[in-house]
Amino acid sequence: MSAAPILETQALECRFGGLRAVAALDMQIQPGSITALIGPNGAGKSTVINLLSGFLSPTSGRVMLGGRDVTCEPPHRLARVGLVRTFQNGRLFQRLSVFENSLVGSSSRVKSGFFDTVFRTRRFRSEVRALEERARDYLKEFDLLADTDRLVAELPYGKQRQVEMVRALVGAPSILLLDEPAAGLNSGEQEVLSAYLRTLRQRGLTILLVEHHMGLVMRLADHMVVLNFGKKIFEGTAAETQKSPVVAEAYLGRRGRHAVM
Amino acid sequence: MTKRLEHKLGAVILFLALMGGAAFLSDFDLRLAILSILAAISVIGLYFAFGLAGMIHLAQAAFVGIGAYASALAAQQLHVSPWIGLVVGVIAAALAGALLAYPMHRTRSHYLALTTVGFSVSFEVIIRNWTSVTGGYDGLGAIPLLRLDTAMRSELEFFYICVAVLAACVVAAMLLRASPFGRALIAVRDDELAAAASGIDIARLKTKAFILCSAYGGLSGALYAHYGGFISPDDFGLARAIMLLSMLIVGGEFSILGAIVGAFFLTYLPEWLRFIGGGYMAVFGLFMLAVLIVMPKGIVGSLGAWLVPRVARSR
Repeated sequence: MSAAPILETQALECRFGGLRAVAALDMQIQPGSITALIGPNGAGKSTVINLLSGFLSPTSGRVMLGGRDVTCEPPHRLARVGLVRTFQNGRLFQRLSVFENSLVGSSSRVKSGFFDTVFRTRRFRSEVRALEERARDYLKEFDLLADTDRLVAELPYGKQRQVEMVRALVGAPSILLLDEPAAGLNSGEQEVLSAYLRTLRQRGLTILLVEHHMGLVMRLADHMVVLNFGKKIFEGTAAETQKSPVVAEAYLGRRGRHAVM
Repeated sequence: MTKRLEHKLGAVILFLALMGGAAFLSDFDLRLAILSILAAISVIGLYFAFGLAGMIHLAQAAFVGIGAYASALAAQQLHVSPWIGLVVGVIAAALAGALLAYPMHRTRSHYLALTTVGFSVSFEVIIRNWTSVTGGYDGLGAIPLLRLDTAMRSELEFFYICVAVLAACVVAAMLLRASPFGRALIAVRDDELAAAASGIDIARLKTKAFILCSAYGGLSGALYAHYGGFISPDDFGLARAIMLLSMLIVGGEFSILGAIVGAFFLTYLPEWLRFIGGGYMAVFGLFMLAVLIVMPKGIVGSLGAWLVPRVARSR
């Protein structure tokens, strides 16, 4: 744990009635790194993402973002301070075009009001121009410029997920929470994705990844946190995680452990 | 490019011809057109609150009323010009909208609809009983009229004023629809979770849409007060609010053009059905049902889908 963590949870706990979905979770995410959050089905990964992004409030414990306590802050305010998430099945706005979907990602950056909009003030024009340019830059990186005016429903699934990524990036996040970004992608698309995530890391973005595809995670992650039944059971580099008997047991059960060895 | 220029030129000539033609209309026809335009202005407001933000808003008539009474009282009691009265009406309605929107944050769908019904009924009760200010059941009379002092007949002159105001309202609405604000509204109606994750403050956005809606209603009401010179509580009740919402739905809830078409259609329909006499409301109701079943996207939405298949695929 070298530098100060950009995102940190302290004794984070979330209960749904009698069920402890997340229990006493201490997790630190270093700036500019890719951290993977893994664990078997029902381990509480999605709950953690929802807690971090403000969609759920913890029963107890704290979430610190850049040294500030952001526990219980609503999602839109977290987006404003640079924490942006994507969704498991890619939730896009079906009645908006690809370009408009991307632009919505910049909602937290818009400062113009009704007056600016109706009277086309200089502030409004320069703001809109900057945001559109930004959206176009990211669409270009994904080779989506030809599809800007199409409705998202007309795009193949892989491209839809890319649009969601663009929407998240247009909001200029400093930390990105990706909920199963590779789900439903073919192997070629997965390759593109992992190359792109590396590029983002190079640009200084911090990424927290929840993912089922172990191959992808092992190649990408600088650091891994393994959950089971809401508790952190292991933490370390990809290589360490791979060798850990605790992790193997969580995934495969006691008998499976012999199978792996 | 030249083709588009030709189209624009054609549209301008057609518009001027229509406006010139209006001079030959009778006062009765002009009156219907004016009432349609005034309705259209408040229905464009509903396009934001209901069409885009999805709030079932059954109090728009009350906001029209707030604009009307505020503007009328400003002109009568404070002796300001009716033009200033318009501004007062818009501000009063917008402020009232902001006040109602604040507690409404916490409610959704049918609860929100009930909140607006409550507001609508309360407004009517207050107007009917606050006799010293509002004139109670008798209404307010002798409100200064909005005039330009031209040589035109007063109906024709007011018709032109209304057309100009409607045009400004439409342009403003189109600019807002195409702005980050309009986009955010559509995003919220499509998927609230994803919208929040994209940094949209949903409560604040809906409040803004509601205030905008109220301001449009207030403008419509203020114009109405200075057009007829007489207003009474009957014009601003729940029945009228339902009618305004119906106009948007019949016209096409997702389009500004639909708001205008719906307003004209439902203003003229009673005239067309006049020959039926007493049973007119029953026929009117059945007709509304038929429109909703045959054209679920409203007149503009359905005709658009039929004329231009692409429009159906966009919103």
